[in-house]
Amino acid sequence: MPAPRSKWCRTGPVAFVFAALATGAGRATAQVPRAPDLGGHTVSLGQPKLWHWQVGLGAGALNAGSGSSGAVRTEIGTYHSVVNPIASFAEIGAEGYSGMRGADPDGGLRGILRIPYMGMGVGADYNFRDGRVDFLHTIYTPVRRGGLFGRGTLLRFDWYPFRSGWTLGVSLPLLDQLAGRDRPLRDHVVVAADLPLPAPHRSRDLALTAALDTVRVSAEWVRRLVVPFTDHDARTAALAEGRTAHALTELRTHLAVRSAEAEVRFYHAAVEHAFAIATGSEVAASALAQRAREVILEEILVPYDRLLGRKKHNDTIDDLAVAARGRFARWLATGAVVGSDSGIERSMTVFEALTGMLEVERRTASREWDDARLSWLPLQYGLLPEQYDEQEELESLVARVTGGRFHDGNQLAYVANLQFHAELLKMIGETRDYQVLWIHDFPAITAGRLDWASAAVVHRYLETLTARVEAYDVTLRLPSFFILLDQHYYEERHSRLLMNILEDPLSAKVRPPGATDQQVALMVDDIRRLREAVHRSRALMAEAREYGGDWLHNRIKVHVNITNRADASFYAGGLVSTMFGYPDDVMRDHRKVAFRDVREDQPDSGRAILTGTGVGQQYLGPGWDDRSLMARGAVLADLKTAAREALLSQGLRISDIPAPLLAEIPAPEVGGEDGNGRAALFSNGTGYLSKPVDVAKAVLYSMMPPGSVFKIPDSLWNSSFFAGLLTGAALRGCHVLIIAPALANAPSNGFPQMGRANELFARLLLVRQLLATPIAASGGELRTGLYALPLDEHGFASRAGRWADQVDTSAFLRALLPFVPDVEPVVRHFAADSARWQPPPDSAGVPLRPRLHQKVQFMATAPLWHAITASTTWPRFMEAYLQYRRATYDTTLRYEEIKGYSDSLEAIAVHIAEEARGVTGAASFAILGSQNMGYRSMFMDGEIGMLFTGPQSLPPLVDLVFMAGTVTWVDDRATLDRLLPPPSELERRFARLMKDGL
Amino acid sequence: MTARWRVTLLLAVLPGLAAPAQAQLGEVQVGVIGSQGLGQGGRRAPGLVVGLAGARLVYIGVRGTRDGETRTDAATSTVVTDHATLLALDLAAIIPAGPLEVMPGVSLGALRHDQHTAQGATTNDVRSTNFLVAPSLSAELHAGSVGLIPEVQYQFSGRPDLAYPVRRVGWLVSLRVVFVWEVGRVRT
Repeated sequence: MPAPRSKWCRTGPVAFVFAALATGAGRATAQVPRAPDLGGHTVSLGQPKLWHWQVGLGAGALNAGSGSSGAVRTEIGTYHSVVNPIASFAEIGAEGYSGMRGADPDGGLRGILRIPYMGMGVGADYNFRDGRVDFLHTIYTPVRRGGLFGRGTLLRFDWYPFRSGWTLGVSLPLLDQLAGRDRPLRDHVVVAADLPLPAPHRSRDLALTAALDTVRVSAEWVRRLVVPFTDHDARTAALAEGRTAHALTELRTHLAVRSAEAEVRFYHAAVEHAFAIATGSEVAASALAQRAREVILEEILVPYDRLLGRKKHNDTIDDLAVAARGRFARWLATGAVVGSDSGIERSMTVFEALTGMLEVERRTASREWDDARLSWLPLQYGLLPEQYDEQEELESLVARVTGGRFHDGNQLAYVANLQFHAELLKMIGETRDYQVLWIHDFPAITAGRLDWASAAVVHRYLETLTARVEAYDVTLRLPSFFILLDQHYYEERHSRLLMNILEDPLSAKVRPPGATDQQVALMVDDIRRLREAVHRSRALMAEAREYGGDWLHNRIKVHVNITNRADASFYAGGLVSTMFGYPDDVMRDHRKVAFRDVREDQPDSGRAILTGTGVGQQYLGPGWDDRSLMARGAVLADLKTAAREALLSQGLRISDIPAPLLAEIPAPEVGGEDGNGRAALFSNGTGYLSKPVDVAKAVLYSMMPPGSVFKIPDSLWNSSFFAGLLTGAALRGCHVLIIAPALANAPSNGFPQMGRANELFARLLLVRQLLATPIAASGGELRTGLYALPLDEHGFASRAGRWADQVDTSAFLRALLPFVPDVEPVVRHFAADSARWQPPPDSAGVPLRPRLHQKVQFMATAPLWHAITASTTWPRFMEAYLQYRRATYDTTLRYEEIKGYSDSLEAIAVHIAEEARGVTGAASFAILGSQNMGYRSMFMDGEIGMLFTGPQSLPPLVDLVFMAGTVTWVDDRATLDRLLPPPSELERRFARLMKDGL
Repeated sequence: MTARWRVTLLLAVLPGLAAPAQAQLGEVQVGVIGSQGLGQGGRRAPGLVVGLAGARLVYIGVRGTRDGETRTDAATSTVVTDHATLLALDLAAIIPAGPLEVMPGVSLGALRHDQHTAQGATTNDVRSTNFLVAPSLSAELHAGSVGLIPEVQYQFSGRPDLAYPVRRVGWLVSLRVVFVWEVGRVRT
């Protein structure tokens, strides 16, 4: 049986033709791909090659002894990265060249060491004609994204410093059709087109000018109070905190006059007053102000805020403002609200002034945050508080600003991380048509041994393929399996060893290092069984006879797609290309999700699991405190769309998208009962693509009404921007609980991440200290907690006991959680009853200290919070939760046993949710996904998040209630510095430099 | 207003212009430098410096100094006037150490020698330019927007091709007085 070749490889040998670049060869063709069961091949990205070939053409001047002569050379070479290619740190290569020097032929060989990040290298060049070895210095750059001429072509300058010679030319990756195509060509979004601005409207009315000045001042305070900036820098940490303290003192002074919520109302009253002066009519002013809010929201705030997290060019809202002014002017001119031309002109003066103020606030925000990616115009400019205080209003707002959509009638189940592994295995086995595992980590080797959890997943793939092949002669159906895996951890964790087996099980050799004899025997047996099944299948053999051996290999495999590959032709963000830019290679796809059989025309057919974990044994057990969300329903169509877009962004053409991932005509949606199972899926593209997860969070953090409760834990809590929005929420009367891991409990605990977390939490302590009075006056609360859990000496009983002890002495928790007196005896009894449980060891046989990796957040309005926390069902809810959590400590439990616990938890959640049915203003949201609360997740990495509401958002609440009782709430700097030590000044500066990449 | 007053006023206003940025990472430094060579024949050299302390972790700057000396050669009674103009790129790492910032670094540049000789009515002008490398260690101390940066360097330089030899190898101490502007990130 011949070895398989990917589609990319098949076209490789003739790929290099310089003329083809000019003629655009390789463009997408319009042919309709054949389906796999009709002989078609399923296209995948495959795995990156270990050796990268390139060819080049150059010309220059070379010293030939008696003088300098012109030279022309063609080159061919191959390179291999000696470390993780994504690090762009070092690669070795060999090249051969031939050509002409003067009138004579010339040729030679080179050995080169390159530093891809720097775009340069050094080497030894042996020239056949001269019979000598010369030192070579080479510099290369793509000049523009995707390559000088596209296709990853690089401009290359070779310099021989000791013989005064040089060549300048271009080089082209060979046998790599993804080069120059696997990232977006644009590294930015253009905010405004270059349009001529119309003549301004002017008014000499002093009263109107004064009124607009009042609006202007209020507009600034609205921005400062909605998203207060606290990430000041200075020469030392103390000086920087002094600046933050100064800014907070200014806020406090202002808040003594007018609260955050009152400022928003004052702003709108001032706008209405300005229109009243302009028109001389209070009635007209009210209608004008309302229309102005609508137009500003629709034409300026929504489109601009949708760009949060994206690098911007032409960053101004002038263009958006012109569109808004045109729309407002049209409405004015054709309506009857303002009768006179002078009234219209003066009304336009007010409207223009409003849009001008927004531009000033945008510019100020961009300068203040030192980053246009963090410019956020408060939606409060376009909405009255009563327009965003109910579930439907908030959902509508999230959907408008993100461009996403909520779907009804989904079934969602919130589960602990141990269950992810079991559910993934189950999903693979139950796949009917196709299944996608979109993950950032699938390790082959953990602690020097074959990762047993990954091996189990490989086993399940092979076992399922075998079963389907054995049934093929009857069913004539084979499922397609896809893996999308980011190259960074693929390299770090030696995933190639397993991907080689999955990608070609009919030819692969099984030699995983670190595997036990039993593991090797199982894999060999799996493969033997699969190959025998293939040979026994009369239908497959008949088809292979017609379609060829390649087809058979393409049909019986897992389609491996290694994404975000090292590509020297994508740099951005710097002053002079590679020297001061950074490569796109540093950006990763951090999305973690598995789904199967999602079809738009059959919304109930698909299943998905969103998770914060990867595949692998390190993510199992209580040591890794993480959660997943199982989903079913129409919302999954958006997941399929995201997967398709991810493959397109990685260089696949639309005609190459595998058939199961193509969109079908959607079936009409069936609404859930009272919005039950309502969910929206948001997906941040990797790199410079859109960031709707950021936007959805920003909308909710900034718009949830006073009295709302936020519980926001995360393993990498570094985003001062999100912290600013949550500070703003506390100022308008919300209860905000922010939780991050202590140093000893952090999954990623490098000094830059931990240093930034300490700095952020220190600023939040300052906020609590300096803004205590206004926060208390608004009824709000801002608490910061550190997940500083010791080893669970008696398994989950230890943690339950800790909860009971801490809640017993915490006044703020007892006030926030009124059900505590009823629940506490249940927890104490459970702790005593569970004391016999012992902690499970990790793979090295050592019990693990818990590590916080949860990326689940919960938000509820005050009416909903009061309704559900008054429920008498909480003791039963907590008991079910405790039983479930204890089960997650026991790796020997069967799947059905664990699932039974989570099912009962959901049933009780539905019962508790009944308490809020019909309550005015009741709203809740939970979001679960892959995103960290850091700038890397906001700006760079691909992320995914499911935002869901209704009863199904409550199981995360009980989880967070339990976590709130076990973490250490930080009230003073000494506690913070003890659990999360501050960085040295040098480390602090370095961490700030690196903050976008942490 | 005389030129002296204008300069005095400018110097008084400059620190006030240094408005702190918000989330800034670096600072621009502009100021003066005075150097003194140690050992025999050490000369004083005033000059100007401008630089950028990126992220307050790395300093990249330019310095220009000029010194001069007149002597009489005892053997020939020739009056020799030497001027040396230094233009160098300063590179240094910035390491915070308490109230100070310690900066190990190096200056790379060119040293141009202009030698004018006069013996009676006969004069002669010779120019020679040499590469200069000077490892350095400096410390930065701040008072508001003014920075004081004492520095010690060891200069290595080629032997200039002059009629009357000049030796420019050896220890040098200097003091920079700079005004500091905080700046945001430079990006495209």
